[in-house]
Amino acid sequence: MDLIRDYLSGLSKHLKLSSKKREEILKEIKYHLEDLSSEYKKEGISMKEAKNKAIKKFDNPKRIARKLQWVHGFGSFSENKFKDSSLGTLPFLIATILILLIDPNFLKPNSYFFGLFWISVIGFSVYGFLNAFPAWTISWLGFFNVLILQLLFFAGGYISPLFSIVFPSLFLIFSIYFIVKNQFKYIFLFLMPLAIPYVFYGYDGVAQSHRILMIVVVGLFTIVASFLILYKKLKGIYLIGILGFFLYSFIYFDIVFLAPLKAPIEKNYIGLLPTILGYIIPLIIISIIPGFHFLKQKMY
Amino acid sequence: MRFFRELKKGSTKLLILTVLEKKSMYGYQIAEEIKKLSKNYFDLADGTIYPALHDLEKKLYIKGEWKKFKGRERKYYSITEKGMKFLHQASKEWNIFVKKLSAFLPRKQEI
Repeated sequence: MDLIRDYLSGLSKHLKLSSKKREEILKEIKYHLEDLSSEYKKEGISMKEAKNKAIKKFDNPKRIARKLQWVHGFGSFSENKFKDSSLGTLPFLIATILILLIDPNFLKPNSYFFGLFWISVIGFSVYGFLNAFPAWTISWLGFFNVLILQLLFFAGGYISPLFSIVFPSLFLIFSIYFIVKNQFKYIFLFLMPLAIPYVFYGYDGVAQSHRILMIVVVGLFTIVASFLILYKKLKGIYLIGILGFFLYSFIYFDIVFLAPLKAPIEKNYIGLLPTILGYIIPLIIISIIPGFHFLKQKMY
Repeated sequence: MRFFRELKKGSTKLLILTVLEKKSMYGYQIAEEIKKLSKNYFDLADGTIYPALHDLEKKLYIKGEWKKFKGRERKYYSITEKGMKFLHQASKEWNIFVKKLSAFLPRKQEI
């Protein structure tokens, strides 16, 4: 058994990168270990001992792999871009189908299928965390964010008002983080799941036909947009941004002004805050961020 | 002491940029050069320089290029203009930091 080969295979096991990138990293480290072993061998020890010493000097392969994974793995794509795009689009597709076919009250987690969906969301988010978030896991992480916010919302008591604070704050923190990291496509993927509860939030009283229209429009938009963002690697983000702006405005206009109400809305100005934020914040994100990205590209 | 271990680890990128300022080198050479220049004070685990190297490359502070040397391929790293600017700025900041901290800490005879 060759010690260096074993070390490299241990390292390779924890590197979830494209095979080209992985091979390049392994080649570089292999040569380093060989050089180090040759140097130790000059001290008069056997080759096996020299290799063993070199490996000890090199550090734990799992630790090195984890660090390399964070450098190369965040937002990374595998060789199969179609698979990545499909996996990243899957939560939008499932959520839309679940809302349409199973339970129109998306915000009420009372269905067995929703339970399964949320378990998958948690599972893939944890998988993403353990593997430095490859690109397709970002949308699952966005749904995880929605789950947390739902739990806060339904917790009641003093926690519910936090909803209005936590929601925009998370938007802001992650947007800034991704902008700093120059990862505009991930802002979209991460934040798009939030469009779903926002669109339905507080509109249980709206006529069913309008609700279905909202679900179909938002669902289709998020499915197509997430697939294109992942598959085309953001080439059409400006178009998606503009389209999102019009669609979102149209839906909001429809549910606020056009949809017939089942019951009169109570005048509750505090309750209006999330509704206003629900319009303004997603609108800022879908219109300003691609615009900012566009200007940045033009400037440099 | 854990504090100094962390400090040493945190300096890896600056050490790499400093040795690459002189000439382009590959990973093993960089590790050896750091050890030699610091008289074994910065005897880091060799593996730790690769995440640092790749991160610097991603940030365009250094540029990596595969070249053949003595029949074997090596990835040579060289510092870029951006890396040079960063290194000089960081060195300046670091010197100020050390000076200020030294003035603040108790002197040898006072301990």
